[in-house]
Amino acid sequence: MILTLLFIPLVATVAAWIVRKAPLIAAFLSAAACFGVAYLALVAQPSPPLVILGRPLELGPRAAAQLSLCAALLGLLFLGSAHSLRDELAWPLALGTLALLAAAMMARSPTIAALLLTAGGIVAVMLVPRRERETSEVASRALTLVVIGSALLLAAVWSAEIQSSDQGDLILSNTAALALAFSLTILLGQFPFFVWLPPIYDRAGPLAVTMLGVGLSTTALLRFGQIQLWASPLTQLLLSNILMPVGIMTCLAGCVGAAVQRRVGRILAYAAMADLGVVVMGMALRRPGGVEAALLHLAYRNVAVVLVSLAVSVLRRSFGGDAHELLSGAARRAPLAVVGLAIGGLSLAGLPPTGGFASRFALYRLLATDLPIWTSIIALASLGPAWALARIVIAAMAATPLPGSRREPLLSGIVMLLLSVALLIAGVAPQWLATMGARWLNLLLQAGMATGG
Amino acid sequence: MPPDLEAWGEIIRSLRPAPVGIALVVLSLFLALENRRIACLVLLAQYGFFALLLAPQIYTPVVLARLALALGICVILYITAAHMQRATRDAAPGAIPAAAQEVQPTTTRSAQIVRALFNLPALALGGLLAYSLWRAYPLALVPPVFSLASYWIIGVGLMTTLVSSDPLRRGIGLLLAVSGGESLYLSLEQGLLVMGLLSIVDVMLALAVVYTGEVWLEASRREGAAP
Repeated sequence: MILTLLFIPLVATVAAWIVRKAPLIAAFLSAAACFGVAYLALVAQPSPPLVILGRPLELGPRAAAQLSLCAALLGLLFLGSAHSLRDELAWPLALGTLALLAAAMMARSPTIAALLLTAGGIVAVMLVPRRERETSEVASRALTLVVIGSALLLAAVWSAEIQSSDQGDLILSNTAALALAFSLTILLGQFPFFVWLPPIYDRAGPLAVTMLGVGLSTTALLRFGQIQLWASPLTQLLLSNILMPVGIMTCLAGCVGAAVQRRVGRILAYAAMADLGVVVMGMALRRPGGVEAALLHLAYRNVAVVLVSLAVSVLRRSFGGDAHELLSGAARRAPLAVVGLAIGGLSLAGLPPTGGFASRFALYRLLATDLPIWTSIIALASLGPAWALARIVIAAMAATPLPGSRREPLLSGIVMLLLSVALLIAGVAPQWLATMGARWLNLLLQAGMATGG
Repeated sequence: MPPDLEAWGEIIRSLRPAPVGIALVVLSLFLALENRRIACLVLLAQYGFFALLLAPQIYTPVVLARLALALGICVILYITAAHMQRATRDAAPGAIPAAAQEVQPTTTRSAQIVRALFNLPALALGGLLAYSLWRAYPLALVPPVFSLASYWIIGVGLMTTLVSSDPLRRGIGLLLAVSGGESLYLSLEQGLLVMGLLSIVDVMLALAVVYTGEVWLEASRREGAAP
């Protein structure tokens, strides 16, 4: 099964490259491969590890759940953005990244996982450059920071691996733990703030946003962020003491930054960073249930990021930009994009009635036990992105759309509707999700394996 | 180990830091010139330098394979560098809008000299930091000459990345830093899968640099800015 999960995206990469001149065929083929990976990851039974050159690969339950979700989201995105993809390399690059990130989630050796994560990050960065010079500069910055973050990560995990105990437990020295924390903050785009990942949310297309803002972040957090599973109690304390303030600062900076923005892309950038800050806080929380709540929130955040980035892409295409003034009357020309923007935005802000609220509420309850004041401040600050979105949505409700604007494509609309409904169900009737997605939830909330998967 | 390799290993072990340091300083001076093609040759030279240093420790065919890969990487980069240099030369000063000139000044010889003079202290700072790190944190498992060379290349590479204004030069700096780090890493860890994955990362990084550089060049032309 593990080999099949790696084989499908790799074969699809080659196939998508061959049919790259026919965008619709490439989009449907790529989407089919992603849905195949999503289904197989979900139904995979526990099996003995696959050993390649002495290094085992194994699909843990949490990795299976996150891989399944990421692949399904990517598949939907392929369908949703089929109308607008101009870059012929987008499909093979995204599928190649999926294969590398899936392998990173499965590699039991942290060193191999770090190397695969680096390779995945580098391939994903190639999705960023578009026709504008600015996006190439953003890509170049992203490449630099992904490589620096990965090098630090590699140093930390290699140091842990050579010091591992006879039982195979990894031992992180204080220096290695600092390097790990620092590398995670770089790879998640939290430090230096607004240098590489937020400009990608703001400027790049939805595929680049998904592979870097969803795929890379999820793999890094899942594989190296679950400190409770593989660090000693003292190291856990050190890592928690570093990651918690980083999470709080990212969340606050993101919320405040989002409140003053007047372009949807920038609102997405700040709101997505703020929400990632909440996930990091959950991961750093040393309480039972903290990691599970953080992983569930990460999953809802991923859905919301994909939904909003697709909505932004549709709005840009229909109205020639994503500025507040250009979107006047957008609800008439692109109603599903505006609905997607509103629901996805509310979920990223952690407000009802969306999935983001449900999972954030669980995290707030856990955080309030240790940090009641900070929790209140963060809950209040989440109104920032909501305020900015409200301005955009009110403008979009204007009676007359701007002349020259275009209708939203049907397929994109259907994809955005599906994602919006999923976020609403997760928020309004989570018991339905528990019934319909029982297997996925069980996998996600199961204890991960010792290596973090 | 074959006798010739054993002898080579002996030479490497007996090397003093001073001549290696001089060679590294000379290599770094070429980087200050801001000529993309020369930067590619510096990259190739340091790949060769590290291959010679690693030869006694790693299975020879693997060293040769990595060297061949390095040659391929440098050829790809050189082609793009030559393409960019031509585009820079062909960009007539009059054709560049004033706004773009502010962002990217026209490449003239005097501007190149000024930038080289600016780069020198930056590279010296990178080298100095590397030297201080080498003195402060000697690596017990790595020969001193090897760790000095690795630290130096990492420092100079990162500094090149920091002071460069275009994706290709920034990428070459990044490749230099990665190569320094990899060499240090490979002197400690010689698993075949690790080496294979590192080579894949190198190739992907080079391709990403070239792709980003080419898209940047096209976009610059379209937007009327000098590359």
